[in-house]
Amino acid sequence: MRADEEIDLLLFEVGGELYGAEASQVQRIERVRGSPRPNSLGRAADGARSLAVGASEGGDRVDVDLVLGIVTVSAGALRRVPLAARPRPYAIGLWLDRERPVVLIDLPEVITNPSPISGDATRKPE
Amino acid sequence: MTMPIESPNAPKRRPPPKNGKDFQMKVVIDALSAALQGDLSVRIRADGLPGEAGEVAALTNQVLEKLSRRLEDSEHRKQSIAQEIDHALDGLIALVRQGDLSRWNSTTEDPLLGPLLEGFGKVVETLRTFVREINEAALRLSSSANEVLAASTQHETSSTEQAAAIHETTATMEELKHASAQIAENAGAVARVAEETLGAARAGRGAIGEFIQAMQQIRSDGVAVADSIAKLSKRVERIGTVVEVIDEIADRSDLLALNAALEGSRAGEAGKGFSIVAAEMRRLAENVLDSTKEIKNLITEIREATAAAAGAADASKRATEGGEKLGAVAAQAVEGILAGVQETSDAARVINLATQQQRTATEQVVASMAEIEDVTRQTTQASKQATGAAAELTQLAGRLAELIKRFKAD
Repeated sequence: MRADEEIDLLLFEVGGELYGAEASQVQRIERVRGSPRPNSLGRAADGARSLAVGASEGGDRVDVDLVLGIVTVSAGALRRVPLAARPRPYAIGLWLDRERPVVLIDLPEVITNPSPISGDATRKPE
Repeated sequence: MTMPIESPNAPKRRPPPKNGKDFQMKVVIDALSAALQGDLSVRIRADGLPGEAGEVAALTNQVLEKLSRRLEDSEHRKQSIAQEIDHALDGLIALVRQGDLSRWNSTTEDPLLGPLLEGFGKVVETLRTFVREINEAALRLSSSANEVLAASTQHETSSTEQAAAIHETTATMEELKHASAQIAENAGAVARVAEETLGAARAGRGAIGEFIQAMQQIRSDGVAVADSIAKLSKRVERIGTVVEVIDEIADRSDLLALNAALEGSRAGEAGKGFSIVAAEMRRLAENVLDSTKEIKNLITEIREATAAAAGAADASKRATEGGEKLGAVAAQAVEGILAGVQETSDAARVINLATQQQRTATEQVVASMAEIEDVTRQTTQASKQATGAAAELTQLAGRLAELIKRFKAD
C-alpha cells in the first residue's frame, strides 16, 4: 500500500471505544436482530448495528454499538502495528482522528476469534 | 229727853212717842222691824206709854227677850256641834294622814251628830273600798306597766333590730339595684353580641354556601381538566407513536445512508458523489434521529407532566369532594349554630327585657324600702318614746302603789 493511497475507513464504537475498519471488509450494515452477539471487541447494547462481514446471510457479522460513518484517509496517516507487537491479532494499526485515537481492526480476524471476551459489553478488550 | 224704845246699841234706841196713837204704834213697828232685821237687842220703853200701847210694848219686849235667849241657846248649841264636828274632822283627817282607815270608830250621843258621824263612817268605808280597789288597781297597774315596759322595751329592741335589718335590706337592695343595672347592661350587651353573632352566623352560612358552590365549580373544572389531561395524554401517545414511526424511518434512512456510503466506497472514484449524497442523507437522518430523540425526551417529560397533572387533578378532585363534604358538614354545623344562636339571641332579648323590668322593679323596691326605713325610723323613735313613757308609767305605778300602801284598809 502506497503512502499516498487513500483508504475508506468505517468508524464504529463498541463499549465506548472508537474503532475503524476498512470499509471494503463490510458487505452491508444491518440492524441487530435479536440480542447483540458478543465478540472480541465486547458486547453491543440493544438496538445496535450489525456489520455483515461475510457474504453469507446472517453468518459473519460483528455487532457494534454505533456506526459513525465512512471517512477517507491517507494511507500515510495510518500506523500499522507489527505482528509481533500486536496485543490482539485483530488490532492491526492505529489512526488519530484529530486527537482521538482510532484502533484499526481486522474484522475477519474478529470473526475468526469470536469471543476471547464474553458477556459484559462495558468491558474493554484486553 | 227719854226715848220710847231702847237697845243695848244706843244708835238703835228709838225716841219715845210724843203723843197720839200713831206715834205709839210707830214705836212698836220700828222695834219689830229692827228685830226682823236681826237686832233682837232692841227694846221698847213701855213705862212712858199709856194704856194698851204700854202693854203691847211690854209684850213685844218679852217676845224679843225670849227670842234673844233662844237665839243665844241655839248659838251655844251650834258652837258645841261645830266643836264636835271639828273633832270628828280632825280625827278623820288624822286617819287619812296616817293612812289607817281601819281604826275609824267615832260615836256620839248627840242625836243630831249621829247621822253625820254615821255618814263619815260611810265615807271612811267608801274610802276603804277605794283604797282596796286602788291598791289592787295599783298592783295591777304596776304589773301591767311592767308588762307594758317589757313589751315596749321588746318592741323597741325589735324596732331597732327591724330598723337595722331594714337598713341592711335597703343597702342590699341598693346593691341589688346597681347589680340589676349592671346585669341589665350586660344583658343588653349579650343581646347585642348575640344579634351580631346571629348576623355573623348567617353570613357564615352564606359564605359556606358560596364555598360549596365554589367547590362544585372546582370539581367540575377539575373534571374538565382531567378530561383535557386525558385527551392530552392520548395526543401525546399519538405523537409518540408518530415519533416512533419517524424514528424508525430515520433509523432506516440512516442505515440506508450507511449502506449507500459503503456502496459508494466500493464504487471507488465513481462513487464519490454517491458517498457524498449518502453522507448528507445520513446527516439528515441523524438530525431527524436527534430531533426524534429530543421529541421523545419532550414526550417523556410531557407524559410525566400529564401524569403529575392527572394525579394533581385526581387529588384536586378528591380534595374538592372532601371540601364539598366538609362544606356540607360545616353547613349543617352552621345551621345548628344558627339555630342555637337564634335561640340564644331570642333568650338574650327576653333576658334583656326581663332584666330591664327587674331593674325598674328593683328601683321601685329600693324607693319603697327607703319609705319603709323612714317609717321604721319613726316607729323606732315612737317605740323609744313609748318605752320612756312606759318606764315613767312603771315608776308612777310604783309610786302609786307605795302611796296606796300607806293606807291601811283592813
